[in-house]
Amino acid sequence: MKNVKGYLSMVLHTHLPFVNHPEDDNHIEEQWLYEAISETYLPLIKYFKMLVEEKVQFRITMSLTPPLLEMLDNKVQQEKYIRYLQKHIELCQKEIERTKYTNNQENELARYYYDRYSNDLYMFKDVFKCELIPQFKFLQDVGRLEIITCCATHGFLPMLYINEKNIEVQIKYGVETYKKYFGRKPRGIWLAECGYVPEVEKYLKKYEIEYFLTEMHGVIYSKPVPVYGVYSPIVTPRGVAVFGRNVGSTMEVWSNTTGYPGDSNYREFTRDIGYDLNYEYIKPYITHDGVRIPTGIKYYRVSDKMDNKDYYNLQRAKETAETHAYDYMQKSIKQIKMANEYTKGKPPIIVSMQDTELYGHWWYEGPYWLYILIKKIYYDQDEIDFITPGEYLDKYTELQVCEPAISSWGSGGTNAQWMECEYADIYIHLDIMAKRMCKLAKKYKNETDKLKIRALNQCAKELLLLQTSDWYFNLTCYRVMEYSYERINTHIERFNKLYEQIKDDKIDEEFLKDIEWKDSILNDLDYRIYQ
Amino acid sequence: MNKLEVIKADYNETKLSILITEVNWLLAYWTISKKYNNRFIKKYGEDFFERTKEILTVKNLKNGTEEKIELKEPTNNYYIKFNYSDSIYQVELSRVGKQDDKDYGYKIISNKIQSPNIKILIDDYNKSKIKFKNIKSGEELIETKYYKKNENSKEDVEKLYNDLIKPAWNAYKKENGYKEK
Repeated sequence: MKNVKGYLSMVLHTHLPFVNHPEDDNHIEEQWLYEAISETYLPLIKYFKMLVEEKVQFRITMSLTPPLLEMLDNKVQQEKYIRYLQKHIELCQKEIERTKYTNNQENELARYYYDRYSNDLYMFKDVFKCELIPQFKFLQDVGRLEIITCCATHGFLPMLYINEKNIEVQIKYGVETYKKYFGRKPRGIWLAECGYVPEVEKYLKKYEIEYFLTEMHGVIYSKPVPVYGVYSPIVTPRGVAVFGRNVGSTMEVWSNTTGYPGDSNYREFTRDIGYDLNYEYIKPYITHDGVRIPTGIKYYRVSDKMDNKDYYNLQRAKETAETHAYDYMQKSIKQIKMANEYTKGKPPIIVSMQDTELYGHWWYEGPYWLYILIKKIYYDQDEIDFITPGEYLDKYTELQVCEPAISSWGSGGTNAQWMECEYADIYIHLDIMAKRMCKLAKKYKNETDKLKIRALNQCAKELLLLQTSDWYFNLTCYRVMEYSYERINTHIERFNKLYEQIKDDKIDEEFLKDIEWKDSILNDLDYRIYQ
Repeated sequence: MNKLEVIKADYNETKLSILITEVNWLLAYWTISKKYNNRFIKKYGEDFFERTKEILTVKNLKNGTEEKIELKEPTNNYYIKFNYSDSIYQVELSRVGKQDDKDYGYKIISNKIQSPNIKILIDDYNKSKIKFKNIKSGEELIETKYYKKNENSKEDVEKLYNDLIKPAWNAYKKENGYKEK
């Protein structure tokens, strides 16, 4: 029996924007999903299942966003992922040959990647039958994961709340999508980008969300001051619990300057054979139009030198992850002991929140680190334990009533990472389109014509897809600019074209069918919600 | 159309919106219909827009103050710095006479927004205002078994923030580009 003084709550946010191009066999942005499956989701599932088999008790919280769930459930995407793996296995075979007599270290790593991608293919296709959602569901059903939901299309609510219907729809269909895939209602929600404005609260209450998570200042800048800081959740006046991010515990694993991922024994993210090898050789494995992209096959470890990096050593990286897991555990225990002095006997909670993709995609050794951390906390000490926010609320029901502060986890703590004046036209589109959607819903609230109902639902989907926060983040960070503009313009065009067709009663069924096929998300959505 | 630009928002509707961008900055953006503008041309003449200037009035609805900003260049957006956290702001876009500030009734009003609180409210600590709630039963409580009389004094809370919370938060803010002012 553990003598628990406090708790560690690891909350992983699992999200990718909805990218679905059934019309194109080699759409580069679709690879975001395949990279995430191979580097993050499959390793995490593997380690979590190993822990279940080893009978190690642990509790992790994961959000799985509706766009990601829809993509994981998409048959075409599943087939494309299999082809992605087959291509990678083929490239690994070539690499094994290429390095056979010339470079032992590269050859050893090429064999490792060959085994890894081959195993991914076997697990995904033969064991999981291409279905990853049931794997997460299994882990929730056996009591190891607490899966929470997110906004329907990852809409950043502080940018959308001028029209409160936007908030309601984002939350309602976050909840509905969760129910569809997990057969129960979610207890918690990860508000996209941790974006909180007070207008959100009544819809969280309406859709029976018990808790949400904010960046640290969402809690510590609350009114009145929370007497336990972020070491206890607070509760809003309407009765929704709020957990604040413990940034100290987050930075250890999140920061690439002061955190663990920057250690020189870990795998270097930026160097990749997609950029390094002879163009003609690598050409079949980069984009169709010949743009070099990362392949996931990386031979080097982190070091300051840009060109002459040292080779990655798997064993050394594993040992470092073990040391870092021990360090994280010790720091967590120390923090809990200190916090305990102030919480007057109420066991404090450390809420450590990160993007799930940090584990494996950005920090290659992250999933193994988490596996070791869980085992160490289970076997090697008895002062802290894992807990999920939901479980904490079941144990400690009396919370301080506070008004959380307006906040996000973006740079600067507010909205600048999604909003800049040069994109003002986009925000006008967002406002007017939402207004038009509400008008349509009112005008056609009793509509019975099936074609028009389809068009109205698709209109709502186009608006929701335009609200995806990722496009705006990309624009302000100057990354994936062309594709982000393309997506923004596409959804604006599709919405407005449908809007005119509905108004004029001249719906082009072929056009509608085409965009229903491409933007096939939230298929249970009913436009009447916008009334 | 250039691949790195967005479709122009040309809806022929009139709307002025404001949103917070940073802790003490908001972005006002607007679109004005031809119909709205034509109303004033019809009433005051073809040179209405030459004779008038565009003004943004920033109102703090909590303390009743307001500030006027003259827009020198044609635009559909403007960054506005505000001074008070935890206040309610609203903006009006108007046109007034260039010479005499005459009000022609050209006025578009924005939504209202709350500005974020940007500090730990430790100085406002008042034990009598600390309330608890049982989240299962909904019952409101003055104190809990963890929060008894004579415990969690202002000094206790201050110490918690000084020892544990502020050091982590300050280090994070530094790394994450957080601005207080």
